Amino acid sequence: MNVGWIEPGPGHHMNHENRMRYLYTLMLVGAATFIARLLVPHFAAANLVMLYILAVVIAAIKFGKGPAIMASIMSVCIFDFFCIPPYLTFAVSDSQYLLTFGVMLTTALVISNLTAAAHDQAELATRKEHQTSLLYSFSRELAEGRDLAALADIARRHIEELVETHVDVLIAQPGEVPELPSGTSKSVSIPLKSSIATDAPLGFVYVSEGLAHCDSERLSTLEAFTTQLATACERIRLSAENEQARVQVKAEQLRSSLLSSISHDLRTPLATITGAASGIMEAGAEVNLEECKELAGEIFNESRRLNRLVGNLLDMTRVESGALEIRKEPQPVDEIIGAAISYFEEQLESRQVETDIPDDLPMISGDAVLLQQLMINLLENVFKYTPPDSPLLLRASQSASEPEFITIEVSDRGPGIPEEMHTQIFQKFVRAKNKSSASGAGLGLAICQGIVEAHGGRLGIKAREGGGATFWFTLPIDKSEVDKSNIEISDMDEEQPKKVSATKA
Amino acid sequence: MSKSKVSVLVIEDEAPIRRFLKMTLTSQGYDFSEAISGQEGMLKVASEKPDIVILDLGLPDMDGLEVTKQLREWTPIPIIVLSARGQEKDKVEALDAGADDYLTKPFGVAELMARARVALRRTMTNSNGETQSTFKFGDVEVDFIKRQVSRNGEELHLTPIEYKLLSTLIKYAGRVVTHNHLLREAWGAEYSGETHYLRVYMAQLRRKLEKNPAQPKYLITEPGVGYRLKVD
Repeated sequence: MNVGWIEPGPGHHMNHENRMRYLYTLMLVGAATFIARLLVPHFAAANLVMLYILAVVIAAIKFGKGPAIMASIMSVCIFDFFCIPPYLTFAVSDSQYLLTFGVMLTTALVISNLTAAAHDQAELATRKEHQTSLLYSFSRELAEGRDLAALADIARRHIEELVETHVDVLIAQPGEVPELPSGTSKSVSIPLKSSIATDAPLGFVYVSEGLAHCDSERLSTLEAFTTQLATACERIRLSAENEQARVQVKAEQLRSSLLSSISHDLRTPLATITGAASGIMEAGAEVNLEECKELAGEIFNESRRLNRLVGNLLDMTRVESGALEIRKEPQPVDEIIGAAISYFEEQLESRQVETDIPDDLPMISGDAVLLQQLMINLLENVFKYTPPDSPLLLRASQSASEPEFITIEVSDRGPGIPEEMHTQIFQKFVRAKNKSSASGAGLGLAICQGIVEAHGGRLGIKAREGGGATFWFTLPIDKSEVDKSNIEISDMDEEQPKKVSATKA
Repeated sequence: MSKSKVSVLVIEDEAPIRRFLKMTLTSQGYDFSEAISGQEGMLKVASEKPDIVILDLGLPDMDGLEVTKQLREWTPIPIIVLSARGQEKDKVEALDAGADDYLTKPFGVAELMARARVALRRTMTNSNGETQSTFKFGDVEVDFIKRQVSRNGEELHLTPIEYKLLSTLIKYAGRVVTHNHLLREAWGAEYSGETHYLRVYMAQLRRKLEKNPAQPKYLITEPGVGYRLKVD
C-alpha cells in the first residue's frame, strides 16, 4: 500500500483505443490510395501527392501524432507502389520522383507534428478548464461546510467524482490522531497535512482501489483537492477553538456575577435570621411573648426564602449542565395549576384568584415536579412584585394556531413590566429595575425558561390589558395512546351498570 | 387521644433537627425519644414500643427505605419519613413500602403535627374497632352502607372506579396516597404504572366533588407522589 504518493499509472486501458486510431489511419490512407488509383490516368503524379497530404492532415487532427507519422511514411511507400510507374513495384522509373518522395515525406511529417501539437494544446486547455471548474466548485462547497463531518462528506463526493472509484475521507477530531485503515498493496492514502508541519496529519483520503487508472492531470487536481481540504479542516478546527474560548470566558463572567449576586441574596435573609434569633436570645427577664413570636415569624419566613433560593440555585445548575431529567407523564392542566395554588394557600388568602380552564382541555405531557416548580416560581414572582391584595388570573387554553400546545397564562394587576425588559427578564440575575426593594437572585424566571424549554415549549411575557403583566408559557399536549376501552370496561362492573353511561364524562 | 401520653421516636442523625423536634414535641405533650441510626432506631421501636416513628430517609448506617421495610415486617406502627426536596422517587418508594406519610425538609411544626395526628388516628381508630358508616368533607357526604355520595344533600352519580378512588382516599384521609396505591385499589395490581388512567379519573372526580376543580380544597395533588384528601 502506498502512502503519500500520487503517480500516474501505466494506463493499460489506453491500448485498445490506440490500436483503433492506427486502424482508422490505415483506412484513411487506403481511401486516399483508392481515389488516387482512379485518378492516375488523368492527373500528374505530383498532384496526386496532395490527396495523401490531406489524409495525413486528417490523421493528425483526428488521431494525433503517432498515427499521422505512420500515415506519412505509409503514404510515401504506397504512393510509390500504386501511382508511380512502373506500377505495383517499389521501383522508380524516373529519378525525379525521388525528390517528390523526399518533399512529400518531409511535408507530411512537419504537418503531422504541427497539427498534432495544436490539437493537443487545445485538448489540454479544455481539460485544464474542466479541472479548474472542479476545483472551484469543490472549494465553494468546502467553504459552506460547518463541521468536520460535513467537510469529509463534501470531499468524499467530489473526490469520488474525480477519480471515479470508491474513496474514504477520514478526518480526525481535534486532539485525535487519525487512524489509517489497513489496505491492500494497491490502495493509496493521501495525508491531509496540517500547516503546522510538526502536527500529525489532520486526516487521510483513502482510495482502496488505488489511483493507477488516473492520468497526471487528475492526480494534480486530486493533490489540489487534498490541500484545500486540509486548509478547510484547519479553518473549522480554529473556529471551534475560538468558540470554546468564547464560551469559557462567558462562563467565567457568569460565575463571578453569580457569586456576587448569590452572596448578597444569601446574606440578606441570613442577616435577618441572625438578628431576630439574637433578639430572642438576649431578651431580658421581661420577655414580651408577642415580640418573640414576631421575631420567630421573621426567622421562619426568611428561612423559607433561603430554602427556595437554594432550591433555585440547584435547579439552575441542573438546567445549565443539561442534567435536568424530565419524567414525562400525562398531566391534566387543572392539576398543575391546582397544585401550585394549594402550595401557596397562605399567600393567596388575601387575593382574589380566578381560574379559567376549559373542561375539555387535553392533558399535557410533562414532569409533575418540575412543572410545579415552574408555577411556584411564576407565582412567587407575582407575590414579590404586586400588592398582596391584587387579583390573580390563571388561564389555560388551546390555541387554534398551535393545536399541539396548551398555553398557560399567569396574569396579575401589578405595575407591569416595561416592554424593553420583556426579553431580558428571563436571563439570569436580571430583575425589573423599578422595584429594588424586592430581593432575589433573579434566577426564578431563568429556571422557568429552562424548564419550559426542556419540555419543548416556549415562554414569554406581555402587557395585560387594563394594567399588569401576563406571563405565559406553552407545553406540548400528551399524545400517548391510551387504550380507553380498558378503563371503560373495568368501570362497568356489577355495581352501578346503569348509571355508568349517564355519568361517564 | 388516649389517656397516657403519646410517645414519639425520632430516628435522625442530625443533632439540631433532633433538638428542635424534642423541644416542640415535648411542649406539645408528646413523650420523646430519639435514635441516631437505623439500627438503633429499630431496636428502640422493639424495646420502647412508641406510638409513632419519625424517620429520616438519609441515615448514615442504612437507607431509611430499608428501615421502613424491616419495620413493616412486624409492626403496623405509624411511620412519617423526612426527606429533602427533589427526592420524589425516594418518597414514593418509602410510601409504597408502608410509610404513612412524608415531610419535605425544611418543614414547620404545624405541618409535622398535622401529619402526626393523621397518622396516629389510623392506629387509634383501628384499635377501637370503630368503622364509621358516613364520612363528610366540605359539603360532600359519603354513605358507605348505601354506597351513596351526595353534595349539598343532592345525590351525585359516581362510576364504580370513581367511588373506589374516593373511598380509598377517605380510608387514608389526610394522608398522601401514592399513584400506584390508588391504581392498585381501583383497578388492580396489574395496572400499577398506568398513571394516565388515574389522572383522567381524578380529574373527573374533582369536577364532581370540588366547587372549583382548578382550586381544589380537598382532593389535593402531591406532584410526583400521589393524592391527598385534605381534612381539617
